[in-house]
Amino acid sequence: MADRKRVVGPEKSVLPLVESGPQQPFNPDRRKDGRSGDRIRPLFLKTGIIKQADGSAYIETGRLKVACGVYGPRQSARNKLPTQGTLNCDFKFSAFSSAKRRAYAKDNHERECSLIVYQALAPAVRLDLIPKSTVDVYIQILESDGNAACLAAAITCAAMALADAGIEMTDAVAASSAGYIGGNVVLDPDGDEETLQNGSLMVSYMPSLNEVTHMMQIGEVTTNLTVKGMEACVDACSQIRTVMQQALAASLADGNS
Amino acid sequence: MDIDTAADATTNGASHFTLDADTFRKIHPAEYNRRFISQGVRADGRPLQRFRKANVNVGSITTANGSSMVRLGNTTVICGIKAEVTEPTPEAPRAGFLVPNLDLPALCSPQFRPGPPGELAQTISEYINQICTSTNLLNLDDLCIASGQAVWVLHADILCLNYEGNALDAALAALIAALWNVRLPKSTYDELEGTVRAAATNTIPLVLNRLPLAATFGVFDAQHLIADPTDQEEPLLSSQLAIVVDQEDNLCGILKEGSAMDRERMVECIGLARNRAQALRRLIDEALAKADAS
Repeated sequence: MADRKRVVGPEKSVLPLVESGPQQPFNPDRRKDGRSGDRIRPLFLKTGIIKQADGSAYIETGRLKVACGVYGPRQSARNKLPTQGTLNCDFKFSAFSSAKRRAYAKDNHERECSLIVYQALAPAVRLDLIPKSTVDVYIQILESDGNAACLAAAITCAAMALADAGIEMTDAVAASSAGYIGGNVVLDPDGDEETLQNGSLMVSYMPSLNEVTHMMQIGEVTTNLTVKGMEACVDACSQIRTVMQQALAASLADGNS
Repeated sequence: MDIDTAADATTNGASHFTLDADTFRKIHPAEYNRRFISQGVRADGRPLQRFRKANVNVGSITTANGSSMVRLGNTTVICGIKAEVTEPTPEAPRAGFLVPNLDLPALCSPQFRPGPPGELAQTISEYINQICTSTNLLNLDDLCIASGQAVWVLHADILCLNYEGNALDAALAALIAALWNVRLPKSTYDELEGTVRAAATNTIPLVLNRLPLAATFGVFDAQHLIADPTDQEEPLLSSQLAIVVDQEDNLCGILKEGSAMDRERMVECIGLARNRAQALRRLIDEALAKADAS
């Protein structure tokens, strides 16, 4: 069905076949950006980027770029539980954010990601303090590089935006991802490395409380390696937390929160 | 700042009570702005006919063939252009496509709802599309890979991250900057397989025939002309006028909505729009030069 609310182009378009050169063999101690397997990409975090929103945050790590805006607590349109507030998470890829252009309509992958973000954040947010209200969390992926890393960045970014909006939480949620490549745990894999992995792990973690809010593992991996991966992710979350705290402190110092 | 509203007809004269400025703005937005504008200054501190400070940045999205970020005050838009391969129409076997769309997601302002694009986004997308076709912005034949078989389609998706009014000026500037930043890969059409093979690096720039840029004005209380209205001012304006000017000071379009406006005022606006377009063009040039240098 033609979309009458947008400027429409040709019905179908495809990416050209790209002639790529020979691939470098993967080395878990020295990856193509110079990191070792147990390092995450440098992280840039900033709050208060969307002036109209009650809270907002921007995260950039490697080529990954995510923006998040939080509106609320505001009156709910429909409320299932009058004693509790609702958390509404909306995860969206920008059309230009991936190798193949994304459609405007929400696809299944985006729906799944919205749900995961909700599951990761909901245990931390004190919804019992905001009865009959809704908090809307809108996440916009500006540039994606690695599915699991993108989702982890979105969760971290959303937690920052919630903190910026002054929504009460038991702890800020930090999330990180890891890939299993040939019996090694590789933290924060990018898009190219994801094609090599035989499994991936994404952990959302509350660093001060030492509690995991969400964990997702895909692929066939030995139990020992999973435990190793989980520990690596939890360590990475603690590192991310330091950056989150610095960014929040900086936003208060500027008075722009 | 406390504003004394005791003199207002809305309150009964007996009790004297004061409102703080922010509450006053929320309850009586028109009166709040009127008090500023009648003194020759706007609520955000600008003189009536000054545009907000603009800021242009190109090439930050690496998944796109061309990209730009434009900020007018707090209005922030990002334009990413993705080139994909498609079949041309039988009528124009060599012509490619340029598909501009503006998205105003619920993320950018509490006035927008999630879901399909609202009226404002639809109007602006359509107007930008008209400007692209009517000004012959690109030679669409430049987008040909193999005549009748394969052409490029440029999906230009303009996303607003922060809406503080005047999306048209920002969206058009972002589109022009991003188009200027587009690099297409060298590509060949394989007739046997019917596929297009492209080089791994993007090298070929586009040729833009015109550089149309917009400047928007509004009329407040049927007498005060203000430039570059913010989202607070937009609903209060009796009429709005958007003027699109290209690099040789040719008019490419005028979009006027709302109540009547006299001719002298429109001529005045055209003069102001030329200066604004020139200033924006200089910013885009600087951003492109900076991106090329790095």
